Amino acid sequence: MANAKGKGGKGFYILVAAVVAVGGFLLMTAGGPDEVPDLAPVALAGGAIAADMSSGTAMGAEDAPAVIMEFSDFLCPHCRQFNGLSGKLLRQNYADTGPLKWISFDFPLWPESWAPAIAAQCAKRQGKYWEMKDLLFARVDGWSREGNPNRKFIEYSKDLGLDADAFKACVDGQETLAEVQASKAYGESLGISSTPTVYFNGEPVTRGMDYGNLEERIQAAAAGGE
Amino acid sequence: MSNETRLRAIALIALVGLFVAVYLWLYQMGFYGALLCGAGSCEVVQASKYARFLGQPVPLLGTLWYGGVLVLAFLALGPASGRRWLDVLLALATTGGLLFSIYLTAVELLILHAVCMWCVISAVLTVAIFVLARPWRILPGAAPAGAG
Repeated sequence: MANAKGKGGKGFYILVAAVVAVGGFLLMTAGGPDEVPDLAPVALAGGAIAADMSSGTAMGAEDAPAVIMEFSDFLCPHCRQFNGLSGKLLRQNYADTGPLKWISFDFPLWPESWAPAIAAQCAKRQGKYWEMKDLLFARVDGWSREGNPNRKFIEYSKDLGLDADAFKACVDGQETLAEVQASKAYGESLGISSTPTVYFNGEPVTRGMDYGNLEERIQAAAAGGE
Repeated sequence: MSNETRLRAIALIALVGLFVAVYLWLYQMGFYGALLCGAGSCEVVQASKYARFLGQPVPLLGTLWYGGVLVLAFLALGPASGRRWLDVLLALATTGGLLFSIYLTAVELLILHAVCMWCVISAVLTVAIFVLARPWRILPGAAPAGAG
């Protein structure tokens, strides 16, 4: 009878232990939500860079003491997680009426990521960018499997009560391509190459891109501490 | 190569594959910001509609498959050594794994025109497991298990 404890069994188990140790170590150190590229701070007021921020979509008071800039790709799983949890809640709790200004930038990394970004910008034309953004992330499993995702986007526009005909003409004609290109170009000018990338008051967020940490920083900024 | 050596090799390869599949699964769940991808277009492949099969994430299926093969290999090395049903299960699992791997590789090359380094590694591991498991042994008239 063959038995792992037989001839050469010890060496086999040493190899198994080695694979488990190396594999486990690599899994834990392979990078995580906190991993960010080395980016320079962004000037928040005045200058050419600040002027380019118009390519983003802003929510919140113009003079809010806390400003979060977020660059996302609609097909990026971690962008989906960040927007679906921390992003959405922070915007609800602090940008609607509080001390936070949130500026969202579409940053499509892949050819398939452009269509949803264009759709989000088309919804923006009808004042529903944030609603469409939430929907696109929530329903990514639905539209990402479509050969022509615009069909799904048009369904979503109806769900959001948009003028579906105008929206259809917008997405099919890629009328907002220039807006997405400008948003992406702005991110590239900052050296961004991965998503999600988040800035808090002009500083790239290098650690703690979660609700609790960002909330603390928003509250500190509101109290004049940051 | 003895049957025991082959099973040990299958167990080790399945263990490596298990880590690869778990890594890709954690990425799909959003645990990692970006995939470590030395060469190829990992994120294009992982973000495509083909990253799911029958509604389930392909890396999850891979995790279950590698885990299953690992368990079968350990069973064959220990308590259930030489059992016919185990040979049949291992043969079915490794053949299914090979076919699924061929399908995924075809999707990458012919439809997505993007290759994911981790998928290539997984495909190589799957082929190696198939060759080592020699599923054709269970066919009528084939040499008995353990021969060769």
